[in-house]
Amino acid sequence: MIIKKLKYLINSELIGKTFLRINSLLEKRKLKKRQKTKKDKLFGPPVYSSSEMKRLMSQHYLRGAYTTKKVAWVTSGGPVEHLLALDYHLFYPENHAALCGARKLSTELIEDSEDFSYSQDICSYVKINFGGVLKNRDPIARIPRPDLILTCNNICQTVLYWYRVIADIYKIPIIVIDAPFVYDSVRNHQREYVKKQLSGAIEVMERIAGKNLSEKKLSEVMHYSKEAVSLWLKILMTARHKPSPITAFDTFIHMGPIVNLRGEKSTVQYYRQLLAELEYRTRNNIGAIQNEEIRLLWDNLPIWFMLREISTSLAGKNTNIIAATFSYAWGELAPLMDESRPIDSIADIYLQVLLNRSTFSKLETFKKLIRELDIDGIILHSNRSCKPYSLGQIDQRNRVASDLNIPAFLIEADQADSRDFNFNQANMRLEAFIEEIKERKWKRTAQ
Amino acid sequence: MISCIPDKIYGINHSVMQIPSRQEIIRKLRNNNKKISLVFPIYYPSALLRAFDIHPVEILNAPDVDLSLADAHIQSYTCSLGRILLSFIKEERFQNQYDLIFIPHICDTFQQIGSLLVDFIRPSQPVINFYLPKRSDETGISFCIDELKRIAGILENVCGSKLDIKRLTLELGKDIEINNLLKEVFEKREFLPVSDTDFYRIITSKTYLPPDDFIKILKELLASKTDSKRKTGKRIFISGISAEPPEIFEIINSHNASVVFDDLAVSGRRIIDFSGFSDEPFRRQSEMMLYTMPDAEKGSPIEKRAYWIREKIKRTGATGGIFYIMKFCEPEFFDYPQLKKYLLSEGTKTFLIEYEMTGKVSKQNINRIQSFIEGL
Repeated sequence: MIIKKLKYLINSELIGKTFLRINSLLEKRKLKKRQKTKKDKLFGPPVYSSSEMKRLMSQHYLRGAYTTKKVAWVTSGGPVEHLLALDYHLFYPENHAALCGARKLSTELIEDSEDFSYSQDICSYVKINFGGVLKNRDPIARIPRPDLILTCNNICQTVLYWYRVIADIYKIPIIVIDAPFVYDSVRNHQREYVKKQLSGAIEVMERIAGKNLSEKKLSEVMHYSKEAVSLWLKILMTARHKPSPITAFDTFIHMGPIVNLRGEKSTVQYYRQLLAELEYRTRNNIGAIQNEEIRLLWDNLPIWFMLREISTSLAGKNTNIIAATFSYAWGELAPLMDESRPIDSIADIYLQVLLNRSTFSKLETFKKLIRELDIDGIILHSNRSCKPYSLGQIDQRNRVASDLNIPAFLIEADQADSRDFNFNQANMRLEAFIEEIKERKWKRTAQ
Repeated sequence: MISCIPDKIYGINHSVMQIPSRQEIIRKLRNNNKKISLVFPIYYPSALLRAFDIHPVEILNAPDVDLSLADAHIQSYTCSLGRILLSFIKEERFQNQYDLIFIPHICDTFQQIGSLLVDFIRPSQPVINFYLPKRSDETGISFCIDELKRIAGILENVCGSKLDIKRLTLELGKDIEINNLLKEVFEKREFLPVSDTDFYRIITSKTYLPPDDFIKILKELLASKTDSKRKTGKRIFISGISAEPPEIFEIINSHNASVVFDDLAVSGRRIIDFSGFSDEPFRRQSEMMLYTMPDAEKGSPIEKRAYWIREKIKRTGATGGIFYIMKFCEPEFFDYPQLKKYLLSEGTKTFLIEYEMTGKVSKQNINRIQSFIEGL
């Protein structure tokens, strides 16, 4: 144990931390000095806080690789506040899978899991995770082995099936927070059910952590969580400004800390910094793309392996996807967080995340964002990996088009599996869609 | 009670052909002004619905339905069962066959279809979404009780009558009788003079027959038990949601193998191996859904599933198993690799078949089944 702790201190806190800090400074300098390529000229100046975000995330992964703490794997929609207050190191397989996707490292892992008979049709995040676990290798970082896993099916039922397999492979305890789907509004028995499960889960968390939960620490975590989520919402809403200082692609990247590190002070500090930078941009009319004519909304998870290609192609058409329901989902419930009633407010929040609400409620979210952000059109990513996000989009698209006279476009792809995706084909359809929006705008102006 | 079946189900040659079809039952009940609820598989409070004089009819397959009707709402990477069910609801010719649509929350697909129906499609019949808890412990049971009480309130509004607790208790009693008979039927499966296909047809007729009729059939089936084992050839089991079309059994039989037990969600997995049912009707109804055999849809641990299958293998001497899984059925696909590992460690070979639920088993799958059986 002493050797392990020493290794952690040297590799993570001493060498690693220093290296990451220097790297972050160098990167920031590089961003500022960068000679613009033809493609870069389509965009505004880069978000300089990105280098700090990379440092935060890398440090989190580095700490995980050498941690001496108890490790919990958690689903992205899982209530993590108690785990953090008990000093667990948290690892989010979904975020890790997204990273693999964004770095175009996912195909091999997906195929590895298919070698173990996992079907081609199941979620690609899962297969990225299984590929790493079953072949005991990882292209990004050393993944800490879990002592406990927590799954909350408020984002999909898939995470329940997924974590059952992980529990079975590692023979470790699993905490299931079963969050009933909210077809209309949250009912009392649903809230009580989640509360009861949370209370039961604390005992398991404490037993494995070998310590009791401190109310003070929980309150502190809740406070940081609430503040980070509130800041995140403000960050997203800077897109109200014309031109928007941010793209949805930026939000996909900058949501790393809100997913992985909410409840931590460093996340609050980071989001303050990012917000300040974006507010500076809005004050000085600095857009995320050079010539913003069209403002779009993105629905569903990103196509991680195509972020750059899609954003560049759109920027070339003076189009900015300024917001995404996916990143918005992490901010919209901020007002519900109340550190004076931790269990009650956690139950309320985690029951009402976007993916645990009805198809109609999602349509309402579209409408809200369209109005608040002055959106010209929607791209709905029909994502083979994510049924709860995707089933319903056809009707939502039709309703947005008919109720708000906003064009909406359905693009078939996958969040992290690039094998069936043809960018050229998709891009041609995107071009036609942008042309349609431009024509509509032109007609409106002409009238 | 309306009987929908002839006095004697089995003719001289023990054919089950006389069991009326789902459509015949619906017609007969409609002619007698009975209310019918279209129900999505697998777990739903059958007795509670019947206590309101609503007869639940599950749809497992509808080969002649127009799938393009579902395509107007859900993507093609949805399982064929989901697409069939939604198309069935949208098809005009079926719309006067039921008064209510009942959707248990089993998976993401049913969740989304349930939501779409209420929010966008809005069929003329009321749609009731029921959240099945994904845990079977006391917390899950007590939530389920509350959820059932909520459903009872909705049914009271829909039917315009109060729930009669005595009637609910009576209907639950019938379900317990059915469960006891089913346990015996599965136990004596090899001594029953019916083919694998007919056995499946009988068991799945539970999904639409009135309980008294189903009890009659089970009793008659048990009475026809022989002294010698019927099964010949290689002994295998089948797992999945359902075995549609049932022709799959004929294919297995034609390659000198027989099915000695099943782990199908609509058949063997519905057995409840529990005797201490509560006297309180809502709790009892919850226990009857959550204490069925382990499966992914209810969130049961995989080890528990493996244990149950291994016990069955020991008892029946099965040497191999076919996991017959509908394309895009996530809950079933997730468990297969781990189950395969567990079973192989004890010498039982398994084999995965992905299929689309259509009227026929594909030629390719027939060939694969043949090779698997030959390799056992």
